[in-house]
Amino acid sequence: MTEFIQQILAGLAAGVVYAGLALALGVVFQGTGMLNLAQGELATLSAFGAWSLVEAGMSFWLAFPAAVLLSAALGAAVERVLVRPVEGAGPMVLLAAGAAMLLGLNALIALVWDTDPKTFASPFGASSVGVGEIRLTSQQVGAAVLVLVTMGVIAALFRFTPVGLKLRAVATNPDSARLLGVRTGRMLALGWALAGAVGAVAGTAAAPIAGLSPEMMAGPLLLALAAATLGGMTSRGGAVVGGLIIGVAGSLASRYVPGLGGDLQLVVPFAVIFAVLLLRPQGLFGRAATVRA
Amino acid sequence: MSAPTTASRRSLPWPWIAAVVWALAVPFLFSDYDLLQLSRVWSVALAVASLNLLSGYAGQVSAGHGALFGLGAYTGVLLVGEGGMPWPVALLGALVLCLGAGALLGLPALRVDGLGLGLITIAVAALFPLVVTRFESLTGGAVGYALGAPPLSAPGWTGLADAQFAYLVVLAVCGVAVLGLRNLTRGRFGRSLEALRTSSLMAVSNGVETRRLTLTVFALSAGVAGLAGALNALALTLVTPDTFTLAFSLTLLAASVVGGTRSWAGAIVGGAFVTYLPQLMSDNMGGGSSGQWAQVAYAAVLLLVLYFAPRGVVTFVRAGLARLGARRTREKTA
Repeated sequence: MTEFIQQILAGLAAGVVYAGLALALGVVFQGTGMLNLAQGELATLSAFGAWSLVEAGMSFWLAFPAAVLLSAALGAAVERVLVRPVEGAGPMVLLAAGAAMLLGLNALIALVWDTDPKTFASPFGASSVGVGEIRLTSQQVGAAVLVLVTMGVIAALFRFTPVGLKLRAVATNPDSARLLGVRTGRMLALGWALAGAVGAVAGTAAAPIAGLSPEMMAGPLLLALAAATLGGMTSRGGAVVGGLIIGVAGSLASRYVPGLGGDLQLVVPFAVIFAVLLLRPQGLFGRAATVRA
Repeated sequence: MSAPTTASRRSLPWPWIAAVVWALAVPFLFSDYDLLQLSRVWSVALAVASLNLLSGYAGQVSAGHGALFGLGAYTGVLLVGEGGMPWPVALLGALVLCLGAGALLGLPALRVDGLGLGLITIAVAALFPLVVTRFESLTGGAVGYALGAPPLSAPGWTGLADAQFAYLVVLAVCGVAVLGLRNLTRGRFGRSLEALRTSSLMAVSNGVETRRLTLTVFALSAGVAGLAGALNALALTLVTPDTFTLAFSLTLLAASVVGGTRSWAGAIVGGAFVTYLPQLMSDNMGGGSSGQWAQVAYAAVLLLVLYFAPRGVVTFVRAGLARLGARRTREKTA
């Protein structure tokens, strides 16, 4: 029983990273209608940025917000410069643009920081916390808190601020939002900035456990895609819940299903979403689009 | 006497004839290595064409065609290597198996569209190399599976070298398959696809069985992709799991968009794009990290094409030529 709970907690700790990335994917998707395949690479870039600042002698608690702000700026810049020109060109072009950015960023990161994996010292120390025999490393707990707080801030921003209202308006109905005087272009860029920031937090939180390498976010991105589908692309809360479910499912399956070693762990979340998509295509929390003939 | 419209419709497609003559002359002009590269171009072009059928004509998204290509490649190589089959049987086997796999992949397409489908196909693409590596006893695991003798060896009476024969086989099969796809999209089937792509509601109300059509087009597209993979692998005599990663699937998708999702000539452009551009880039940028620079340049070129020719290079060039022609006639009449 102790081990079972332990596995669930470890799954939740891993799941917050997927949840963060899934939230970033969802925010971009709702705004731009683009499945941003490069979201993971953007997060990797942020983690490397934070690492470089720490290596240069900066304290983690200064380097971390700096990296998050830079990532937000980068996210907005990417939307403005790279995505804006192809925004209306259809899903295949957008998907291809995402793939191009993924390949390009991946290679750029490898050029700047080379491909050798680096260790990112945990800002939370190497101790562990827990009750009785159930233990989690302070890194796991700290990273989870970091991501959860960020997601809370984002949720509050969407829910309670005028800017959040505009963001939601643009996501729901861009045309009427524009007619009501909302600067849609600016809101889309802001959405990308928020996604960049959440991704940066997720990437930096994952780095001490996953290790820093240009490929570090390849797996998590896939799981985040799964999480976003599971929860429903149109639901921010759903993306987060989806991420946690995927994390726990992966952790439990790799422990209790024989024959599923680390490499095949990816099968589990996809089996889950496959089932969900067939039974409930809009995801657990998404809204189904109704069509009037 | 025929009306001018009929005459122009029947007029020979000169660019295509020139291309065919060139393609047939190639094996007697180039080195074996170049022939192998060209075999790759044709087989990848066929895979891109299969993706075009699905995305450009049926309006469905797939980010998993790299996995189907890989499934075909493994099927073809294993049928020859383990089953001792002759290569035509291996090609047929790959085609049939991938038809089935495509129909399975089409099942979720009946429930989800666009994004969800993209995700499922991405998942298939990501899982394929892992699954292949896991079934080591059959597939040779991470090292891959190499054939002892080249399966596409020239029969004695042809007097051709093996490399020349292999190239011609790849060319012939790809040519016939692309022609088949093209004809398929022009008849009744093509019109129902057009209806499905425009609006599935409209298609249903006009008597198109959209569910059956979706499954059929998925199966066909996957079967052709598998055939392309088998051709590719039999020409290379080798399969490795890291050839068929998610990145490869995304590359195919990019190639389809670059050439133009509704252009068969574009599929060839796309095939050449993914085969030669990375090589061209790394050849011209020496040094240890040339592979990465090549990838950056590849991404940059891809983005530029998407900006300036979102409907594909072929459409872009055609429109440019048409504009040029229109200006010429204007100048003449003025």
